Amino acid sequence: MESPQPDALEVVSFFAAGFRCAVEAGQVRTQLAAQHFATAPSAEQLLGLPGGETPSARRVLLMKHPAGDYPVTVSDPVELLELRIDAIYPLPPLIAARTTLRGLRGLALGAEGVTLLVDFRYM
Amino acid sequence: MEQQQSGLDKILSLRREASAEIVDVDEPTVKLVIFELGGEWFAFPGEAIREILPQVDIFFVPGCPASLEGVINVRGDIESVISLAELLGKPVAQAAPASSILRGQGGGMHSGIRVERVVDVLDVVQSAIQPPPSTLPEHLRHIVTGLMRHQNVPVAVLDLNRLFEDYQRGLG
Repeated sequence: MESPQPDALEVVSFFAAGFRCAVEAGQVRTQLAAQHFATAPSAEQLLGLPGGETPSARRVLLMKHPAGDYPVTVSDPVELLELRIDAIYPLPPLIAARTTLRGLRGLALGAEGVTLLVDFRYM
Repeated sequence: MEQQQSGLDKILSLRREASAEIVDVDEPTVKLVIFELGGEWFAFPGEAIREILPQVDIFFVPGCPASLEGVINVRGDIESVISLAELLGKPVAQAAPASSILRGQGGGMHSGIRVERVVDVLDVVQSAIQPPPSTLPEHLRHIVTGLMRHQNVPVAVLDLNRLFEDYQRGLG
């Protein structure tokens, strides 16, 4: 029997180059203070967004990976939240074809604007 | 001796001329959505345009070319919005209060298309659309399918299928 479709997706949201982004919460092991990971790549570098060296409060997301967890630095605020399924959209075809952002998988639209749904495994 | 034309004669003559201009209703027609960009008029076939939206909120998506303005929420669905002025190399109007978004479908996809102003939506006889001249600029040659005149202004009819397909392939 098929399991019922969930009505929300749990994500960890963060900011990169001033844009609200989110990854599936299941891909994140934990979040840590950034000072312990001085050489960790930034979300901006991984996604291909400008910036990444911003002095604003930075945190590290420790991402799960079969070959070993890896750190990614992101900007605050970092939040665990639920996105309603009906607010999540696949990329429109022209955006999917023309975006230069690596790992951009979809978009969520809400009162706070657009959230970039990313997956660091696709980079 | 040539008789002077009476008032009735003049009226009858005018009426004959007018009736000569009556369009053959059996001739196939095509619906066109005519719009303005950078002072020039263009058109899409009506069948390619699902809807004309007034100004709506556009959500910027980073990492896209300047011609891709972002996405819009249309009754719970999202669509990209491309700036046709950017694509066609026309000056982009900074403040165009009459600017509209055409919801277009072509090449198996949907997208919004920003235009400066919708001029008209009308049915025209197919014979009024002439083949595009060979003097068209290179970047328009592939997507212009015909030329016509409306209100004495030349109108270039565009192929939305090619436009979307080319754009998807990275052109423009």
